[in-house]
Amino acid sequence: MFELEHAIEDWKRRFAQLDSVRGADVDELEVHLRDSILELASKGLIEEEAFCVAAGRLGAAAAVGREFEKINPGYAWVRRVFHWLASAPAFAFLNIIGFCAIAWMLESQIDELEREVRPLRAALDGQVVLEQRAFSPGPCNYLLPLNQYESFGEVVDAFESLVMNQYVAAGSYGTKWVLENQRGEVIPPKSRFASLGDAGILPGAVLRVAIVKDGRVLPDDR
Amino acid sequence: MISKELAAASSRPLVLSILTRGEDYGYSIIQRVREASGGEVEWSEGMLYPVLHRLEREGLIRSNWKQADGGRRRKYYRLTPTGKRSLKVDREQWVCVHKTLTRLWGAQSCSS
Repeated sequence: MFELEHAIEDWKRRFAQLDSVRGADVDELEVHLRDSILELASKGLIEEEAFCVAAGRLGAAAAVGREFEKINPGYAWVRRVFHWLASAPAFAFLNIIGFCAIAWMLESQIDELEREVRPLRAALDGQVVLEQRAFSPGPCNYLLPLNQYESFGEVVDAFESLVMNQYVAAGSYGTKWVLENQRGEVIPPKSRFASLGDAGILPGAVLRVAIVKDGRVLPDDR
Repeated sequence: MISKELAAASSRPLVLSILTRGEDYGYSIIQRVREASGGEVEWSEGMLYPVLHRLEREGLIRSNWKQADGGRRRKYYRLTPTGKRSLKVDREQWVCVHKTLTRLWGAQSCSS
């Protein structure tokens, strides 16, 4: 039995696996796919046919990925290195080198990030600190400008699509994100709010990132 | 139907020209190219996005995610002043090639 949402998820996964395609690129392609499916369905195609035709018109993931790589070769290369690093967890020192490289890469990608996200509706001039607990060789804090994001989910998505996805996808690891506001309340990861200020998140809020394996948070190695 | 190479070469002026009419998103840009060309210019749709991102990187267009009235959230692109200037140069060059070819061949419609 054809399930449209499952089919779309599978389709997205094929694009998300590509080294040259970012999370935001997959989102943009998904919007296109859904527009196309709707239009085809309005012309009388059944859901499954509409999905197949729409996906076919967008092109094979590998071919689209090659075009993305042409405009962003550095990004694809860095992701490949991380896949390689993450696929050798026995070499813990490589992971440490990897995370230092992540810190460096994140800095160099922030300009890109800032262009991709919408400005916070109720602008809040502050920063959220992404603190990575496990596997971090010393102070591996990442600073993301809080006023560029509209919700905590966006902060996490942006960070994940940049750095964590490739690490997590390649190994059996997951990430756990904890954002606390200044009142000590934990903000649910996928919550949306009109402004971060409304959620009690003020400049200086701390977002902790931990690596989890088999549902267990790995110990802080600092 | 035009060749893949020509489709790739013409994608830049086509996208910039469409955006002179105001901001637009990927799916709609493709529809408008299809309509304007009477279906003669067909892109592999996924290829439009790397083109858009390249144009944005070159500063010719800018993008932002927006929710249209009651619709889904989409990434809209709009022309920058640099983009307008670049299109003007592109246009002069394409018109020059077009004029040269029509002089050599005599006027013909693109489907013949």
